[in-house]
Amino acid sequence: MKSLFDRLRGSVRWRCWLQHVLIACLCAPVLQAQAAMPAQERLSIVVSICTDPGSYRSAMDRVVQVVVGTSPEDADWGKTFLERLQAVALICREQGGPVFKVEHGHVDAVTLEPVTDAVDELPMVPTLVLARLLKNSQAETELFSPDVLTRRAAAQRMSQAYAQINEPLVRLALSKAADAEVMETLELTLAKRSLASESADLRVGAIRAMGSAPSEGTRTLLKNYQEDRPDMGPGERAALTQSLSQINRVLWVGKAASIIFSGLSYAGVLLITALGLSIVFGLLGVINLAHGEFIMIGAYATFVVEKWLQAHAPGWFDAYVFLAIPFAFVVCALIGMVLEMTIIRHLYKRPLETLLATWAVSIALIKLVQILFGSQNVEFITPSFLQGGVQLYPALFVTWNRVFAIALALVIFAAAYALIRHTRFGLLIRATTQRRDTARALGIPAPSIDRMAFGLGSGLAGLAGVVLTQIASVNPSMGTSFVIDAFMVVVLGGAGSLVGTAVSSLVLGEVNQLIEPFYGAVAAKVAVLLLIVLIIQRRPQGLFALKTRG
Amino acid sequence: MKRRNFLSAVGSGVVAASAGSISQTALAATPSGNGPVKLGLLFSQSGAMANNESLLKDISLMTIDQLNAKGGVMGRKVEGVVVDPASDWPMYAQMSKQLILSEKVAAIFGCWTSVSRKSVLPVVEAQDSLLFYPLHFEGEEQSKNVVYLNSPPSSSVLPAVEYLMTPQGGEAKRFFMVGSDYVWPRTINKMLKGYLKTKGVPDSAIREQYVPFSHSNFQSIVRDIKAFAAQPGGQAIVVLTVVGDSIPAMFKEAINQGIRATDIPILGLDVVDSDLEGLDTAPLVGHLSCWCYFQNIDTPANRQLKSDWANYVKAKQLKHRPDMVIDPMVSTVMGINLWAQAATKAKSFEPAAVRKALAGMTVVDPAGYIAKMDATNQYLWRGTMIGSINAKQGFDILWKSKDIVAPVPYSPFVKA
Repeated sequence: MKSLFDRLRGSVRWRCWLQHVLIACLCAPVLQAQAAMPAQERLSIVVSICTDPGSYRSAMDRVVQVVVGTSPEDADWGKTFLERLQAVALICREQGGPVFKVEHGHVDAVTLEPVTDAVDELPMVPTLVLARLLKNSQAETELFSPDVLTRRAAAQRMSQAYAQINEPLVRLALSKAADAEVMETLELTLAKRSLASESADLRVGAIRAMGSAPSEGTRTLLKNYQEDRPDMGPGERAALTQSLSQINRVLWVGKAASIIFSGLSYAGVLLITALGLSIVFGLLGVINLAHGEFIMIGAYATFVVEKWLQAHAPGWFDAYVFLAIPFAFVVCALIGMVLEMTIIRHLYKRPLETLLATWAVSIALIKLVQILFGSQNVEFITPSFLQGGVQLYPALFVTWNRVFAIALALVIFAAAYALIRHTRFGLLIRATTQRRDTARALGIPAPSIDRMAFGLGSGLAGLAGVVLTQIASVNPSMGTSFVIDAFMVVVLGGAGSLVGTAVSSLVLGEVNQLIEPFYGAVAAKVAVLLLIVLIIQRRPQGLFALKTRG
Repeated sequence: MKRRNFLSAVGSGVVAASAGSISQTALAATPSGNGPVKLGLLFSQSGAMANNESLLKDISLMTIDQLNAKGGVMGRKVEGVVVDPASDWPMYAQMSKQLILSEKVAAIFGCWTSVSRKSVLPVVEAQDSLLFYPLHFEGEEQSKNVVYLNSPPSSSVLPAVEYLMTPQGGEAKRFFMVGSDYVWPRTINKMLKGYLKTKGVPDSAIREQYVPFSHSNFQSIVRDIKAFAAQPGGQAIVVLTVVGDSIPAMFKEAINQGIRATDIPILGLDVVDSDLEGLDTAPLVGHLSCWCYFQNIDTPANRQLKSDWANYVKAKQLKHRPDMVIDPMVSTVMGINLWAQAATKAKSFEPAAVRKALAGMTVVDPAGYIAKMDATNQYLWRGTMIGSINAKQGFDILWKSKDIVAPVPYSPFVKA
């Protein structure tokens, strides 16, 4: 596959060189720095953008030429023009000529000199068509950027918008490209265009190139090609079939992997929201309807940390997610312990009253946060390292916030598991919850162990809040949608078993995400509920039952 | 959530039932006498809709204050009675009953989602009261007890989609519809499909997906959208009818998976500025929405309204953004003003008299039009606009209608 591609690239490059000479003559203005262009030309570009949607394309091509092939001064103007237009800052005035809105006041769109007279008109909002052209033109100018990452992104854009690009310019960029990735992408771009070529050899080469760059996009290109040319030759047809099956295979694997990944990430969210409850409900046996509100408080604690860092240490801003972890844990654990001390401990033997009391607490907490912060969604600026994602494999796009959620869920689970299974504190909790009277007889201070265990569970819920700030929207009533899911996970997993909680989140997450792409989100939710009903019928104690003699 | 709703529903059911028995002893359930005239404000301040509906509650109170500052209506003070149905649909019915029977309100201003309006509908019809409804919605309804202050799809959604299918709008050929699973998205999409059929769009170019309320995991849907957009058949767009918390969740996922308006524009039919509050909108620039009003419109009435709201938020120390006014807020203000004008004209607060006076009545629309009540049905004629999300968590106006548009309550595109 590789060698095939290399050969193709070689031939393309050679042809490029020939064409390059030709293009050099055709677009001489692009290549040679010129004397400053007349202001008339600038004005004419701006006016055609302002007045004539039919001339957008040619105006944009002219701007790109200005940026890549003229004096530095004109190039700067071209860049400013593209940037201002995309920032919705071009104001087309009927009198006094077009201006750009800048930070303080306005400048003339042609000379970039400050304008003193008042400007009342609203800026021009680019239509979708113009926005697309702008993005392409921007990328075309960035093909020549000194920064290699910018060039790579620009080349990607060329490949995506292959039908609307300025081909001579791309060939020029290819001839100057030093980076292998940029080169590869631009060659793919040209290959996409040569699918429409007259020469059968070129077309076969392009078909093969598509086959070695599998994506939904290239599959569509080949399918369209198949439909448009029923009369293609046998060589072409063979290449096409081969490329298509190659692409289909890769995309199938990618799609399967992406379903598994979204299942994992949903499982991570379930695990982290259920972990605290698995201690509070599973071990202590408290039906805590305020669990969701601890999650919510954890999210607001994160919000407080975010705002504090924004005000006092903007340089550390991106770290707020990590700083919020201990803070949210401590805040929620403290609130949890106070709650236990004041309300829960009086109700340990009375589950129905606990249910009502914690429900009341949950409403009180919601109202309290509403008074303190308002009922609107609070704003979280995603730290730069959690923005976007990466195309791991064709059709498998992994977003960083989900990876973060999975990783943090695993870490927190491991920590909680180690704490319960391998520390003295964990031993005491288990002893107290499993054989309370025996534990007390042995001198274990059961009430304070209860309190600390409840605090631990609440703290873990707070951590869930930290993770959810990056995934869900945060408002005072966010907790209600998580508490039911958390109970489902814990009940299915088996009360008191952390491993059960982990396994049941994995099962529920994967089942949900496996069904959703085929039957929709509503069906997925129904199916998960049915599954739980069936399992609980067969195993009322849940998947992993704790074996006790009690 | 279920259990909680059930319990709160039981609680309010008791309240409503007792309110019912009180009213039977009272002779007239209509507002009369010399005390203040009451207006019911039926907006959730908790639950999934709190974010948006609490804005409507507060701007209603502001408008009522303004009426009172001008001496009230027909010499009587106006009083807003606030209740919180907690984003729980059956609660809207119970609380509206409570407002009419026990508080004896002259009219109710309320509801955001269609499902809440459908829940109130039988109550206002049985009591022959008036509900002023400030949202654009799916149409297909015409009750003499509801005043529809905003547009049915024929004058909002369909013009927007039509625009997106023109060369200027990017020549959309394929449509991915994602909605919350209830009456508004389903009816809108049904109508849209009927409409697209008349435009020659084949069924294979349309995809339809629904998610439960408060759904926040949009991974596989966004992935589907990307795959759909890459398939043959031309430019794809997303018609987004999810509501409440699902809107920011959907946008977050779209940003992270790299969907940009230049490649796959999203027409968010229920997206308002407040949904963008928690988001970095730079990667969302260019996605669209259609309403009768966007706050960027530059008219004297709008400047006045915006400064009134900013002052009110500051004076009352509300937790809202002082610099944000959204269409349903404007519609609510217009509704209260319409009610006051109609009551004055009718010289009565009786719903039947007010309704009669409303026919053909005009009111200033801060969007730059003079809105007009239809002479025969209960709809308000409004202008229509398409907004494009900007980097400052708001909308720029991409397109607007020249004049107010005739509302068509029953769409010819919905088949039985």
